Amino acid sequence: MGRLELLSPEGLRVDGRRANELRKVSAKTGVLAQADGSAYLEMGNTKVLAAVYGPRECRMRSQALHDRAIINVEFTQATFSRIERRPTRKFDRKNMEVQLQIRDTFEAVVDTTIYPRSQIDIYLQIMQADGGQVQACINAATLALINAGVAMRDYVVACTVGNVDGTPLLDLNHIEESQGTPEITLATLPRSGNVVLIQMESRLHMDKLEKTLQLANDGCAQIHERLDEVVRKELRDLVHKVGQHSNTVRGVSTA
Amino acid sequence: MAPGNTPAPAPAPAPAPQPTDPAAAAAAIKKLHPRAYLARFLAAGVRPDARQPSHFRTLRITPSAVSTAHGSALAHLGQTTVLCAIKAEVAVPALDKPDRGFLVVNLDLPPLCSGKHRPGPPAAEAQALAHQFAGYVESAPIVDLAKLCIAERSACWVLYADLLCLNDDGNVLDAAVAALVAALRSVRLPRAEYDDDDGAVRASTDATNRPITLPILRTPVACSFAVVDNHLLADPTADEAALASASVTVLVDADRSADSDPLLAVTKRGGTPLSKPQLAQCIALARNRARAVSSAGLLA
Amino acid sequence: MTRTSGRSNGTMRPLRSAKGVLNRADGSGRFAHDKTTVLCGVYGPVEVKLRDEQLDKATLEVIFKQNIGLTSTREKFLESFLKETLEALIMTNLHPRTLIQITFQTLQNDGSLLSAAFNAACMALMNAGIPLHSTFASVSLCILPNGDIFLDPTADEEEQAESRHVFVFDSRREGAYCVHSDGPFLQEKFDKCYDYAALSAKVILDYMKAARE
Repeated sequence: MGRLELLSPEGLRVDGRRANELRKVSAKTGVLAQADGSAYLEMGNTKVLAAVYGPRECRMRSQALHDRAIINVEFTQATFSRIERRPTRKFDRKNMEVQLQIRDTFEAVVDTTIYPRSQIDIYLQIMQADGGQVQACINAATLALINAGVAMRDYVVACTVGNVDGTPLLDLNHIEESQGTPEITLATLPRSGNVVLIQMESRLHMDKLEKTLQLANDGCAQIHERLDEVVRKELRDLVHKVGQHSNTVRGVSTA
Repeated sequence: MAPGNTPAPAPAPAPAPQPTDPAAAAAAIKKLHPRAYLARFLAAGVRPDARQPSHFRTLRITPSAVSTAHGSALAHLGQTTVLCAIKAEVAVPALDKPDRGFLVVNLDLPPLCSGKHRPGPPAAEAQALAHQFAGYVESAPIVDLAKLCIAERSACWVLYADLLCLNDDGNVLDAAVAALVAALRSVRLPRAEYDDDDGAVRASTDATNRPITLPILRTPVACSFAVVDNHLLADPTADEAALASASVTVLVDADRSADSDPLLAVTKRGGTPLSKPQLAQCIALARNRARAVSSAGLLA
Repeated sequence: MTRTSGRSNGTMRPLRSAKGVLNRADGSGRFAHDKTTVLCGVYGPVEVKLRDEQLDKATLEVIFKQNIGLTSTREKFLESFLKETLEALIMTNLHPRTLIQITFQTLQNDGSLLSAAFNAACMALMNAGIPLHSTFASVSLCILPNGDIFLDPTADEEEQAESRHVFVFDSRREGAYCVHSDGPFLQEKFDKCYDYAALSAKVILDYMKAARE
């Protein structure tokens, strides 16, 4: 199949979005009863389930650190996540690379020093893959960690961007990714604007870099807004339910 | 029924001060003395989730939950959740069975479904469960594999049924069987034609091209029980299963669940012995459950 | 319907057993239902890894090896079956914080494999001096499409059968320790199998008792 026209002359992409439009983000936390924290996130057709267990006892006592918690990430793609069935390979190198990246990302944000000698497990399961799996996983993991009550300095929000003929495209889907577009994954901490993860495995001219990263930052800001909305709404619902069952309701800071 | 309303017994000296909140006291007892906690409920004839010992949890099925698969279903048995997705591929039939296709099932219990499971290769327990499940599917075929044949000896469909447990609150087996049956019923395969000239299989160009559904041979319903301190509990939750000294699973065909109809399987795994009347009780409860599931039209 | 070997429906195959066949193991036993032979070795009570340690009882580890083919989930299933049943029959509370490792090796498989394994385990555990609540025996049966019940089936008979059944009883025979039945079968046939199995278990237990002397 020849190269698809990723950006039409009218400025529409293959799925009808504009160049700087995010896919629809919807999320729910607390979806798994067994996990300490969990979240289900959809970014367009990419669907991720995240579960957090911990802080709990280290599985291997030899790995426990005396002054902080260790974070363990497991990333799997369901066999039915793509159009073609993909059998699960236990030691997939790509998966392991993604696991390490996500682990390093969260080690920078989670306050591990208050949980010495313990382990925080983050399990990520891709239910449907339509581009931007890593960014969706990071966003889902943030929600799951918040749901589990793990102490974090800030949200971690991630977004992908590409570039077609000088125009940066926000939040690439699978078709756009597979056309060889340069793709950058950016993860930031919204409050400070610091970058936690930036990854690109393709070629992009230096002149186009700044504009592309700027768009990625905007995308992250939008995602942060969305995720924050979800967290606050669920917290409000929870406080409401607790308030119905007890006479004293402690105030909730809305800072 | 709140055990915190009555003064909590102290089976062991409790040096920590008693929390004033009755719910917190109950949670503490459940964590520290799970067996005593459960025993108090059973002595009153109920279970911690207010069920009768012989009652099963509500089964909810959401068919076609995964849009990218040829057939799928999500089964909720209480909090236990199992997702089944079926994808079809084309393959060459086996030499000794040239007129039928294949059904390959795989039950996976990933670490996210429960705190018990750890990352890495699946635990021995998970593998044993997966094998027991596969054994049930093999010995009680749900669909007629002959319908999966595209061209005798040359091409057939192979259905890969991947089951994923998303939440393990006990009795994954029953939920998995229900998910598989519902998923198989929701399978829609495109009509395919085998081209003799180049050996390729193509989707039929027939304009009417209605997708194929699979003919269902039987509707197995799995009913599992746990024996805790000589009480027989139907459909155990994870907490109850952890304290069980024996477990029984009875597989019944929901379409043929009269007393005179055959059973599909009975498996009792280790632990305390069960007498013939006790086994008969399990079988009777299983039949009732199969009838209830069938009449609720859940697996239709 | 007569069976190919001329046996009647309710007759077991000739049983053979031996104990103490492995000189490095703490206990060992070999049990054969005619051709089906399983060797069992028991090592224990021995030191246990910290993560498997149980404070109030011994930890059991079961390893099952087939004579042909690679290890698959089928062996894991048999192992968990054997382990759960043996955990109830062995007095594990007399050896807390230890490990009892039970290894099975199939030497020849001509049907009724699981039963031979259980029976070999009983011989091996007694040989090792591990305390048991009681001796135990296992029996296999199968029901043919025409309704005949065969006791102690061979591999061919199991293949033709509509349903296969394995039972484990102890010497008191008040209840079945283990039941594994698959394939469609009528409940009344199942009840008959249960009764035949209980009677046959007594036969095997008597044989084991005689073999001990």
